[in-house]
Amino acid sequence: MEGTMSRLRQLSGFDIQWRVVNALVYRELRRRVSDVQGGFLAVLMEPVGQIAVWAALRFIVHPVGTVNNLNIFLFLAPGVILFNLYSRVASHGLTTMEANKALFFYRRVKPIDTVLAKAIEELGLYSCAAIVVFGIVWAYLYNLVLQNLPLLVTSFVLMALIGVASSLLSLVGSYYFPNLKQVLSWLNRALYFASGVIYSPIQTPQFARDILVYNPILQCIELSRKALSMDYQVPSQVTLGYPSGFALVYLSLALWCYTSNEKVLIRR
Amino acid sequence: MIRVSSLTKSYLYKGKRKCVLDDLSFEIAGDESIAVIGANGAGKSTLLQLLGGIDVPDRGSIQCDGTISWPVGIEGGFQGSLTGRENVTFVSMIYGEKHEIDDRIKFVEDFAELGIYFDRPFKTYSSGMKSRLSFGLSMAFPFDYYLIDEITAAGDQKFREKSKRLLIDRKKTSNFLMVDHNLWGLQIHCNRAFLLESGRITEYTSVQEAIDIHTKTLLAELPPKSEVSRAA
Repeated sequence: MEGTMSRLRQLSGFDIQWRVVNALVYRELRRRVSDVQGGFLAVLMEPVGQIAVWAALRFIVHPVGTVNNLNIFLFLAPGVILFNLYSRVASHGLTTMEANKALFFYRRVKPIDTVLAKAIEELGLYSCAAIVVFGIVWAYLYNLVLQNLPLLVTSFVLMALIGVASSLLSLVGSYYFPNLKQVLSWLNRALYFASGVIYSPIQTPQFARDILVYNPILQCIELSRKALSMDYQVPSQVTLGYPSGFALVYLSLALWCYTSNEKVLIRR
Repeated sequence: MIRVSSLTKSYLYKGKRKCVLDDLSFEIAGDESIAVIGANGAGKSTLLQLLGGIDVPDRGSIQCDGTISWPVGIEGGFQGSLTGRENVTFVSMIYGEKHEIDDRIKFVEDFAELGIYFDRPFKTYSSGMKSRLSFGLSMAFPFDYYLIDEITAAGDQKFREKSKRLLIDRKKTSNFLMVDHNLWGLQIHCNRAFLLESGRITEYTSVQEAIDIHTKTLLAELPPKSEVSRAA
């Protein structure tokens, strides 16, 4: 057996990270299939359930099938799916050190790899959830007109990148401030209601809208709705440039913060 | 070759910093296996973890021109809900070449002899089965240096004998950095020794000499026999 195995090669940093992230995605997906009752179906049902509840509540309060010229399900789906994507990626940073401590015995595995793997995994799963929801809408309502697919894909990717940045910052922050977990959990709930998940920002009062549009998560959600239908009205401040620029700056800041603290994080 | 300069490591204990390794400098040639000897708490495992890049020093540097394993036989990295095969696949994806992943899995499967348990969740394994899988996994990758911390004490007699033979075979192509309270094992596998005391190391070209000095020091610390009997 020994004779057939080649010696281990010295790899570049990029090659190592590529392998590690791939392996972690494999591990996490296998774990989810084994651990979560119902496997992938359970993961896919989570946003579907939320959409159904909000749709029912909205219909009780205001029995109209559309919100801002968009079918209610198509309106809610991007908000719920994108926010869940962000939330799951961002909150991973708080628990990853404790949950994966033993993995760092493999010196090629670094904390940032677990964050990247989580982002890829969630991006894949929530993209599948979006396809399922849009598929259901298309099958039953026949009015799904995807007018700008690249914009929809960009919104998903930007949301995952913002999630990665938040995850890295909370990874470092929770090392220095262990109580951060509680604070961020409350902040996350507040963010849910400040991100236009269940309402259309154009229908909010002007003074509130002028503040809300600074939220890049809200902008991503609005852009994804706009991608579904050009009839959907978004505030004039919502542009692709803002969340893209924000993601770039925020991610750079998070990477700088992480790289300056990586050694401290893996110290035993 | 491994070159260590001014290596210092301390831990915070009850608000005070305790220095475990104090300004160590040494070199390990490319064809040497080292036995690290010392009393409990002397810093042997810490030194191994620093050499393996698993922990970072307070000060100093470690340069190595080869590949170093993770601590051989470590079980912490296994995911309980995944099967032995899936856990091995995960590590093989990180350390193995893509076209060799199946060979690595086969190697571990043959070595561990878990039968149908290889495809059952790791959390259902007995401690012996866990040892066999983790040791087999460590040996599935031909590193230049293996970090071996107390592994020869694990498992039943058959497993220990099998592991010993595999280590002797692997010694032909790789080197070991080894910690073991079974001092006899160190003599078989190592050709030089570091004796760790109070954060400093003394290098010995003869493993036997280091073992003799270490044993004498330990026994000298024992209270007289009469006091031990009275305490009991």
